[in-house]
Amino acid sequence: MQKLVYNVFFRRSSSYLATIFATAFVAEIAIDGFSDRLWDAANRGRQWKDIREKYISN
Amino acid sequence: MASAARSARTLFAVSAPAVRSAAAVPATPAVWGGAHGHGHAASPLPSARAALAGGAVAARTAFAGRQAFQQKRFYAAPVTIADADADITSPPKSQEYYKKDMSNYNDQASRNFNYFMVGNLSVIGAVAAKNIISDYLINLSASADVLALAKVEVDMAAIPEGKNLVIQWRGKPIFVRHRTADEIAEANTINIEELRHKETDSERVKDPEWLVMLGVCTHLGCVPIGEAGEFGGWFCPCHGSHYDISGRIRKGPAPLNLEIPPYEIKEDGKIVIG
Repeated sequence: MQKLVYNVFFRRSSSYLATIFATAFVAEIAIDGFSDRLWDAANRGRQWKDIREKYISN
Repeated sequence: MASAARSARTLFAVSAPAVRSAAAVPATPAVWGGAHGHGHAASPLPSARAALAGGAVAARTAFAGRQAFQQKRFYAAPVTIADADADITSPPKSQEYYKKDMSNYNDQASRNFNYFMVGNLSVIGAVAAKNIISDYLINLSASADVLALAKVEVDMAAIPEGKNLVIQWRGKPIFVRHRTADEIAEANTINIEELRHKETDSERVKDPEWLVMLGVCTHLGCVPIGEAGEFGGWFCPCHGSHYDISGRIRKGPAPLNLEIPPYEIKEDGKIVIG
């Protein structure tokens, strides 16, 4: 198992770098989405997108 | 001398390799040592009590002179209270006691863990670098208040055929001309090869009826006058540049045709500039 992980991800610099970039891409989206949802949950009803329909009808 | 060296050696319990032989060590070898060089007999057992009894404390403060530098090697060990008469030349526990337990050590797992941690740092670095670059580029682009003013709408129905409209767009005048069929024909009959800046009329308009141009003379930036000049188009009063009905430079100092801004002709009869 450890040997397989090493051979797949770490052994070649190219696959290591590809793993890093892929992880960075996924992790950023995941962290952004999570923190946005957290923020929206903590500020429900107070943001413009929550009260927009009271002022603009389209 | 030999006994002095030996007792000095006992006091270097934590740096046993530092003192190799009696010949290499002077009578007062180091900060701690030399106590027994002053005639004291060496104690039979190299213990702490023996060292203190031999005047080691006084010797610590004595000037030892310039010594050859010898590195002392220390290692961390659990603190234990030793018996005062115990031998202090050897660690209180056996060497095995200080060794790390390697029975569960897995070198492949350890290697993977190291790569994983380095990779995690690289992931954070990659995200940070990407965000620095994108924030910098966003900073360079136009802000929302600029973009709000960046587009101008012109109602085409308000301009009758053969009339000019001058409007302002991003602080610059825009000429909009609703051209007549005669004017379109005239603009298309010009021999391109005679022009200073060779552009056909169709390159300059999206709909031949509507000519939209930036009203800034390409010479020194004056605003040309409409329906004036020798070519039936625009005339710049500053230095006498003549533009034709397609806004192309025909006579005078200007080097280029009047510039065409980005614009769109919408289905609902509006021209959107910007």
